[in-house]
Amino acid sequence: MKILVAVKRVVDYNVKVRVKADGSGVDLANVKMAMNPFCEIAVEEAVRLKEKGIASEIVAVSVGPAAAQEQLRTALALGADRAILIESDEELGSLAVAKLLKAVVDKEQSQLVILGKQAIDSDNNQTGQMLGALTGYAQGTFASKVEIAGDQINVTREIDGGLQTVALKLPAIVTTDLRLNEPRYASLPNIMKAKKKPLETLTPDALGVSTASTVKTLKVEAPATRSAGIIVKSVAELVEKLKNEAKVI
Amino acid sequence: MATLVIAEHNNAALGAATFNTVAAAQAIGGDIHLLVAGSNCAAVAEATARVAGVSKVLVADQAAYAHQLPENLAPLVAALGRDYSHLLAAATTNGKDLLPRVAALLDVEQISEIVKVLAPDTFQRPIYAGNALATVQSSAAIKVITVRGTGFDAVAGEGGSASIEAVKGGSDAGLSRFVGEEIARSERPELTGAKIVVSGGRGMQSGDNFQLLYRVADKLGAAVGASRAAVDAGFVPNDMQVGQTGKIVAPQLYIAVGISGAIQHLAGMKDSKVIVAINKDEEAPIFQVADYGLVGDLFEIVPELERQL
Amino acid sequence: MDFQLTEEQQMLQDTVARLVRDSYGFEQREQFYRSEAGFSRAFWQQLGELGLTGVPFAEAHGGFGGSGVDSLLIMTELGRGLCLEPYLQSQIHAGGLLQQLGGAEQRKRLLPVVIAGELQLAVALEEPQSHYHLHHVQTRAVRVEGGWELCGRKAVVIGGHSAGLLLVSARTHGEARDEQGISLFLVDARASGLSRRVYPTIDGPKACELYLDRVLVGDGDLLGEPGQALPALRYQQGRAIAAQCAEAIGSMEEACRLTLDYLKTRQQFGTPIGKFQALQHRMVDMRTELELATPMAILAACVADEADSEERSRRLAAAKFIIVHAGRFIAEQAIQLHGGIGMTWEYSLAHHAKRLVMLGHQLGDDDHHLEAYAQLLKTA
Repeated sequence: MKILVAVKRVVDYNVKVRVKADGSGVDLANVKMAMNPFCEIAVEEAVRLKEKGIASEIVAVSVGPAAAQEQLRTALALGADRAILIESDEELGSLAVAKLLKAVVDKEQSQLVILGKQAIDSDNNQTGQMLGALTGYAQGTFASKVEIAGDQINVTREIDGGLQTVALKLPAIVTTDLRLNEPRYASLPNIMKAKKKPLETLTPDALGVSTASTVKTLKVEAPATRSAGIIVKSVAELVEKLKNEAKVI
Repeated sequence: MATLVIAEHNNAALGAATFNTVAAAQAIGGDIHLLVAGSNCAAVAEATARVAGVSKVLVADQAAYAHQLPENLAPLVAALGRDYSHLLAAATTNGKDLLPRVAALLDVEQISEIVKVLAPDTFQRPIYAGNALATVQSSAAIKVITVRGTGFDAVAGEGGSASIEAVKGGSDAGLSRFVGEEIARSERPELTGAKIVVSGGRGMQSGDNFQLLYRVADKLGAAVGASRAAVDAGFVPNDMQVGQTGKIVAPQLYIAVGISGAIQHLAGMKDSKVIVAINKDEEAPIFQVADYGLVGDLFEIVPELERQL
Repeated sequence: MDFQLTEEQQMLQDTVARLVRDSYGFEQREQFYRSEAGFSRAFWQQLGELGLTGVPFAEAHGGFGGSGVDSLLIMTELGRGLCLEPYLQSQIHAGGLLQQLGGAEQRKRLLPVVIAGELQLAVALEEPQSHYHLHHVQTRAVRVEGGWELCGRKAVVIGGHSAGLLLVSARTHGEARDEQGISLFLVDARASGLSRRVYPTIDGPKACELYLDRVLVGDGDLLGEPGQALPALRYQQGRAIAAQCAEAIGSMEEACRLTLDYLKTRQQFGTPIGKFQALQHRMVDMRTELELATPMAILAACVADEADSEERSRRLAAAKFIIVHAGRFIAEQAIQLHGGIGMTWEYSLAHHAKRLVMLGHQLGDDDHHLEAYAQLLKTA
C-alpha cells in the first residue's frame, strides 16, 4: 500500500509570533521554521505502518516555497521514501492545497493519505476534509488511533466529549490529532540517508491546478491585551462575570 | 440573502453550540434557516423551530445521517447550500469534520472559526493559536463558515416559531460506517490540555482540603493543579505542580485558590485567558495578574462557588 | 563567509534541540542530578541510538565524520538544556585523544563501543599543582615487566566517576615541568590500586579525584609513543575548548532569554520592570556580549579540526578568553536583573549562572588563555 503524507512548513511551535506593526501579517523575518507538529505525527504514523509491513512506500508532499524542501528532507529523515514539493511562493488557501494534493493522489494512486488535522499558523483545519470531497474518499479526521484491516481502515477519532470509531473503505483520508503517536527523532544515519532520497519539484501550473483565492486578509492584529483586573465582592458576582463577561463557563 | 445553519445535535437534543452559531447568523443578517439532519430526530427539529430568530427548519430524517458521517451528509448540505448566501456550522468536532467537505464540493473556500462578524462578507478569526487576529473578506458566491461559540452570545432557545419542512436526503454513500463511541469519560482532564484549571496553594492547608477543589473542578470539567508550595508541603503529588518548574498551562480559565503568586508559579500560568484569584491576603501578587479577584476565606468561598455553579 | 547551515546540519540541530527540550525539563534535570550517575543514562543511550555520540569521530572508524560546526550545534543545544552528560569529556576530548594517538588495534577494539555510547571515557590530565598546564605532570609511570606501573594523583576528572575507561597522563621520564616525557595511558576504572573520591561540581556534573597507587597497565594500554603525548594533549584540548565555547553559547542564549522574559513579566510600581530604561540598558549589554561571543565560538569551531598551528592555538585561546568574559558578565547581570529568584535552586537561571562561571575555570581560565595568547603573539 502506498501512503501519501502531506507536510507543511510553518513557524516553529516554540516561537511566539509577533504581529507586524502595519497590520499586514505576522513578522516571519528570521523566525525559525519547522514542520507543522500535526504533520510530524502524520509522518510518524505512516512510518509505523511501513514498519508493520502494511505500507510499501511513503511519499511526502509539501505545498510551499522552495525552502519547504527542508521539511521534506526532515520527512525523508524520519522514514519517508521520496518527496514531492509543489513549489509556490504565494500563500495558498486550503482549497488550493487540497486541489494540488488531489492531483498528486491521482498521479500516485495512493491508498491512504495522512495529513495533520490543522496547521499551527492558519489554524484552518480544512485540507484533509476538502481532499476527501475532491477525491470522493472517506475521511477519518482527528484520529487518535488507526488500524488497517484488509480493504478497510478503522479510525478512532477525538470528538467533543469523547472518542468515536468509524470504519472507512480504502482508499481513505486520515487527519491526525495529538494523541495518535509520539513522533520519533531523526537519527543521524537517517539524516544522511535522506540526502540521497529523491525529491521532485512540481508547480501548480504543471499539475493544471488554478490556485486563485476568494479570501483576502485585510488586516492582522494582536489580540487585546489583558485588561486590568477587578476585585469582585462576592461569589455570585464572580460567577456572573465568568458567565457573562468573560464567557468562560 | 439567507443563511443556512447546520444544527448540532445527537438526534435527541439540540447542542448548545447551535445557539451561538445562530447568533453569528443574526450578525450577518438576512433570513436564517436551520438544517437538522439525523435519524429519528423529530424532537430535535421541534426544539429547533423554537429557537429565536429562525424562520425555517429543514429536516432530513434518514438512517444514513444517524451519526453525522460527513461522507453521507456533505452531499446533502452542498445541494441545499446552493440556495443560500451563507452556510454556517459550529466549530465543534462535528462542524469541523463536515463543513470543509461541503465547501470543497461547492468549490468555494471556507473561513474557519470566526469570532466576529464585521460585515456580511468580512469576519475576524484567530490565527497562530490565538496570538493574532485576522480580518478576512470573502468574495465567494457562498460563504462557508465555522463559528467559534465563545465569540457570540447564545440566542434564546425559546420564542421562535419557525416552519418545519422535510427535505429528501440521499442514501448511504457506502464509504464509511459508524462503529462505536465512548462519550463523557468522567475522569478529570489532563492538566496541560484542560480548558479550565483549578489550582490550590499553601492556603489550602492540607491535602484533604483539596477535595473542595476537586468538587468545583468536577462541576466545571476542570483539571486540578497546585503551586510548588502546596507540593512541597506534601498536600498533593508533584505531577500536579503548575509553574516554571512544573507544568505550563494556558487554559481558558485559571482559578488560583490560596496561591500567593510567586513568580515561578506565574510563569506557569500567565498565558491563561482568564485568571481568577481567591486569596485572603489582598496584597498577594496573584491579584496583579488576575482578571477577577475575590478577597476572603477560601474555606467559605470555594464551597459557595461549588453551590453556585 | 557563509553562515548558513546545510540541510543536514539543520536537521541535526533540530533533532538535538527537540531531544533536549523533550527530555531535559528542569524537573527531569533535578532527578538526573540527584541520581547516582549524576546524569541520565537513558538520555546518554538515546544520544547513542540516534548516532549523536558518533558525530566527532572519523567515518573511517565508524563515526559520522562531523566537523567542528557539527559539534558546535550539538554542544550549543546541550548547553541550552544544562545537560549533565559527559559528552564533551568522553566523545570530544577523550575520544579525540583515542582517535589521534591510538594504534590500529586500540582503535579497532575501543572506538566502536565509544562511538555507540556504550563505553564512556574520561580524561585525567590535570593535577592539583598543574594550574591548567598540561606539562605539569607529577604522576609517574615506571616500566615494569609487560607494562607500566602508575603512581600519582589526578584532579577534577569530570565524569571520571562513571567512566569505564580513563585516559591518564603520566610522566615516563624527565622532571615535573618538562614538555618531553609525558605519556598517555588507558586505565580501566576497575584497575587495582585505583581509587576515586567523587564529588559534585558547583554547576551540576559530578567529578572525582583520582588516586593511583601502583596501578598496573599493560603494554597495549599506552596510547602513542612513550613520552610524546603532549602535542596531542594540547591539540585535543583545543577541540574540547571549541566545544566548551559552543556549550557556553547555548547557556548564555538561554540566560538572556530567561532574563528578557522575566523583565517582561515581573511587575513593579504597576508596570513590567522591562519598561525601565536602566534595566533595558543592562539587557542590551548582555545581548551585546552574547553577540560578540557567538562569532568567537563559531571561529573556534571552524579551526578546531584544522591541522595544529600557532594560528589555531591563538584563535582558540582568544575564543576561550572572550567567552569566559561574556559568560561571567551575562551570568552576573542576569542574576542582578532577576533579583533573589535568580539565585534560587528551583529556577533554572541560577544553574546557568553557575555553569557559565564554572566553564570559565575549566580547560584554562581567562588569565591562562590571555597569557597563552600573548605568548603566541610574541612568537608570531
